[in-house]
Amino acid sequence: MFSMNFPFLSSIAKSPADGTPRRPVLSVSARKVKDNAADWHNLMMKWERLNDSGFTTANKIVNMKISEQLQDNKLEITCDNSTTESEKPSPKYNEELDNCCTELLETLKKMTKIQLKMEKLSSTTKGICDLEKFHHGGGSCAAPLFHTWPTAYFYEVSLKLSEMYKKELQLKQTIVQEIAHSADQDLMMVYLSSWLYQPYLDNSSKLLLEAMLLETGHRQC
Amino acid sequence: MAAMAAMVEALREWAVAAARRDAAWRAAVAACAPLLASLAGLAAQMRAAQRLAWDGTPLGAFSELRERLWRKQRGAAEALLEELCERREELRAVRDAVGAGAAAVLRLYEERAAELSLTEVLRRGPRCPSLADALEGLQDVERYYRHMYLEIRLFLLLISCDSLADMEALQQAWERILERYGEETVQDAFLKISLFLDNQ
Amino acid sequence: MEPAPLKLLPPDPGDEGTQRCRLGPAALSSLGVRLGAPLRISLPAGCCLCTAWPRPDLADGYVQADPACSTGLTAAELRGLTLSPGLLQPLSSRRLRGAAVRAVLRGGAPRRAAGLQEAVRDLLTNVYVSPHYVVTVGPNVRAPVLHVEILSVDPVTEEAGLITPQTSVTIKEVITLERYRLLTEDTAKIPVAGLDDVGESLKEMVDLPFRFPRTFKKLGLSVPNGVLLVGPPGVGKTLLVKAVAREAGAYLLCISGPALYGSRPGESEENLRSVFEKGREMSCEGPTVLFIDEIDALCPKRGSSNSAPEDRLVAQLLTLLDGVGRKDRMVVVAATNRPDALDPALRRPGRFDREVIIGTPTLTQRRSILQMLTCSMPISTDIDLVKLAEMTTGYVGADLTALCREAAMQAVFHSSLDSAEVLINMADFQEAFKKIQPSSFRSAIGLKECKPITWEQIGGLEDVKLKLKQSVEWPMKFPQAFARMGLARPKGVLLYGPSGCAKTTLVKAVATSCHCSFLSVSGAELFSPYVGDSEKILSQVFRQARANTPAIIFLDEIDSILGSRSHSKSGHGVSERVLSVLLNELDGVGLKVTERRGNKLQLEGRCEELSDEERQLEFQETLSRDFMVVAATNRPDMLDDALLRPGRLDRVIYVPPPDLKGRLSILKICTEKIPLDTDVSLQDIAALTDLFSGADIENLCKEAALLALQENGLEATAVKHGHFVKSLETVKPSLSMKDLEFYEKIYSQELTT
Repeated sequence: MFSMNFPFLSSIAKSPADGTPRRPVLSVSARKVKDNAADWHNLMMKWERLNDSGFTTANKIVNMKISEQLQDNKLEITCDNSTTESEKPSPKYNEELDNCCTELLETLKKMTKIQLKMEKLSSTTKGICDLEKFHHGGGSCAAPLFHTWPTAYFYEVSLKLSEMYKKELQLKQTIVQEIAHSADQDLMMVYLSSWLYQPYLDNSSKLLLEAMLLETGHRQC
Repeated sequence: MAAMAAMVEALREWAVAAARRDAAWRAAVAACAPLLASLAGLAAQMRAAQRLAWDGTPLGAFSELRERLWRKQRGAAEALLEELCERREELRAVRDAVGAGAAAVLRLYEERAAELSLTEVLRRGPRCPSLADALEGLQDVERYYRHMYLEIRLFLLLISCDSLADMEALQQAWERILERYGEETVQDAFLKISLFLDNQ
Repeated sequence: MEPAPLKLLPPDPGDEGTQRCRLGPAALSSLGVRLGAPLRISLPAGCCLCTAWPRPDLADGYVQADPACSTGLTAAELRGLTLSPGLLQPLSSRRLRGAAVRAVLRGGAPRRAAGLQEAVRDLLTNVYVSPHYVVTVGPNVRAPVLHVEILSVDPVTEEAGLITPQTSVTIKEVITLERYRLLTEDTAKIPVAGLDDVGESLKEMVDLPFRFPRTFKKLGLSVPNGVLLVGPPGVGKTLLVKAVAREAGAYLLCISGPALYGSRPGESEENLRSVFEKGREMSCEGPTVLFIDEIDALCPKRGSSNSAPEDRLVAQLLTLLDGVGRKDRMVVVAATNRPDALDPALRRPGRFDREVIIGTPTLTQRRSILQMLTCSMPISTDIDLVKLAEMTTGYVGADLTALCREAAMQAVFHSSLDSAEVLINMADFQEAFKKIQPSSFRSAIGLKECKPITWEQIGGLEDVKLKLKQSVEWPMKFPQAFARMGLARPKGVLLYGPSGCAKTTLVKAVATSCHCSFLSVSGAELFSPYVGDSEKILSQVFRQARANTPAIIFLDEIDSILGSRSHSKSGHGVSERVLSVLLNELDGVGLKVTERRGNKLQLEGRCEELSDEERQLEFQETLSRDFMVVAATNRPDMLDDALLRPGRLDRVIYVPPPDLKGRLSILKICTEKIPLDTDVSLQDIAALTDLFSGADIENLCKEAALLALQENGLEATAVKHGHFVKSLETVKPSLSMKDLEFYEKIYSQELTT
């Protein structure tokens, strides 16, 4: 056990200012950063899966609403024909629609959790950054933890990603609130489209993640 | 007789390759349909976004949402088009291979035509087509692929995000092409050729 | 043994676009060709290039050919023919390295259709071609190309060449279906006569830039590309443009106002833009003429109508015309018969650089039009076209066409036989002449048809008759004599004299003897409650007269139409303004440009080239290119002095009350139809009727005849002298000595001054 720990200790003993990266031996910060990168990857994958299932649910809701509208229209026509029946039938309680809405809410809740985790990840990265700054006392040249990225850059990337997801989550919250209450088909279509294509997640997000995974050694070049 | 044997051999080779290629052709054509359906759906979404009065909706508060969504949708459309182009390339490969094969067979016939008498070429049995019928079928198959590929290519060229209404009607237009290029032409020709080969 | 002829059957639907020619085994073996070998089939309408294949049923005696590659055959031309086998000619074939083609786009396909090159290649693959053959794409392939014409092949061969995937196909030219049709359809010339010079210059404009594009470029010339044709309706503006376009092989794009207007706001402008866009596209391939007929309807003066949509359309047209730059070689031709109604902004260089005025045809022009019209008609030898041309003053091309048609109809009527040898003679033309009025006269003001009156029907006044003949009839009829003597013809004639002394009748006789257009204006026709309207009407009368020379304008009771400037008090009345119009028209500075007729050039320079007869015609035409004003009044003192000075109404003729001799001849004429008793002495009656005017004498005769009826009952057979004497008691002369003195005084003043 001791011997196993040895390389770990030796890497601590060595000053990071050495400059040469040693792959098997990582500093605590480096390990943390590497874990974070892996977490980012996992969270984003999970988000995508949730997004897909959420889209399926939202799609169901919209389809139900549209068919309901068609039926309502038909009913209205029959109502107009029989003028004696002045009272409009109250919108009937649709159990299936309700179920779907609950499901969508559930999905959103999970997504919110993921987003919180993402924020935590970026704050951890910030902590590592601060620690490094503290160690070097504001010294200008801190050696990169891995290949080329300075530690601050990890934080930058994390922050960027986290901001994207935050905004996207806000959008999704609005969509979930409104989707079952809209009658405008165009608007429903836009809700669906916005859910699916996640406009606030830039195309760069994937690129940033991949770059981070590459830098931390999760991906081999 | 040697000439006839050579012709039969060449036709047999071509028929085997062509049947395989035809399967690839059908697969590629079939693969286009879902992609076109997605494009049509996307076009419907884009048109809805264009029609929508954004300011009055709950989405009005989101900054530059409209532009971002448009960009994303266009990106998705381009990705789909790219995939369609891949299918098209597959079709082109089939067309070129079948065409080259057919040209080779016809060329062989041209070279050996002097050795083949007219009666030999036209001889057919009750269930056996003549060499002439087989060669005709060969030409028909080649022309079928060539024309259908031409139309598909022109069809794909006309898809653009600038005419969303056309894009929404893509599936119908595609169906019309498929209708006009029924599979019978190729199947008939294959049948004719294989009957001819079987009876030699 | 001569092989049996083959019956040509329509191709099987399945063979469409395959280029296959289906033959029976016998034909195949007699031709000695392998399957799929190229054949040339020569048909009466053209050739077609096919490949030999056996018929599925192996029947002999038939041939089917798919005309996918031919010299422009259509399926209709392949119907119901029988071919001798000799018309099928086997061709040697080779694989082509390259081919240059011209692609004809399907209607509505965009010019720069994406993937055109590849589409053409794909369509031509495995097709046998020959230079100048056209490969037609069947309707079962949806391609942007309809025809592919093979311009040249490499290696050069007149036999068949096979296009393989390895052949390099170059598209030399892309043209639209419209132009292709223009190029292939037979171009029968549209006959136009009398407009040679105008047509020539128009043709130059259309054609030259296309023939010498580099020269124009080098010279830095911007090609004039706008022409405005101005002329009255029916002179052949539209026909001319069509004929020129046809002759120059230009594509003619017509714009008509009603087709352009749309109900939606902005739709009209959009339509206009799209027409210009189309023209621009067409002009990339060859000469193109954009013809805007009746442009006055499309482009009226702005501001006058107060309608914003119309103004917008005008503005759009102006912008588009400006946009027709030097790059597009499109000629815009517009035609109008109301140039004054056009927006002035339209008529400046850069928009319509040239204005061509086509007037009512002159004598020579009419003759050549008639020549052209009658050249295909069976006319008898008695027809003198020059005389016909002389008769048809004021007739435009359309009228002459109608005249000839009517004459032909007449000939058909009176022959009443369905024989092939109907000849049209002069009498037919005379009959037609009565029916067909010149179109410019159909809406004319003041045009009169009067009962012909001969000089002989007017008694006495021999002196006045002679004067009138001298001043009106002679210059109209014998202009050469006047020109020879260096005489200027009088512009106008004023007849004055007491009322009832045959002034109007005299003018009628003049009109009858001159055979010219006769326009008469009275006060009632002239006056209108609108300010300026009277002047307009009068000047229109003059304009019509100028368009229909030789003409006589008759102003009866001219004193009531015009006042005298010195007599009237206000000086601003309508009559003063009418007078000033008349003075101007009589002696104005010149003609309005838009009223020009014929060709200036011809009159100046080219006389030497013409034959004697032609020169005679020209001469006559030049001289008779004028009109004359004849005015009549019984108040000569009321007239403005300016009107009577030379160059205006310069001949003043006094029509006196009839003297003894005159009265006698009037009596003779009046009693021609009245049976007179033997005791009647006209001499005596004439002596008794001093101070009687012609009208009074006529009245007297009527009165005497009535009296005879009264006295002798209805059985009266003759008028006795007594009747005349008795009626003289009741009928009083309308003239008085005082009146007479008044006229005599003016007459003597006239003589002394």
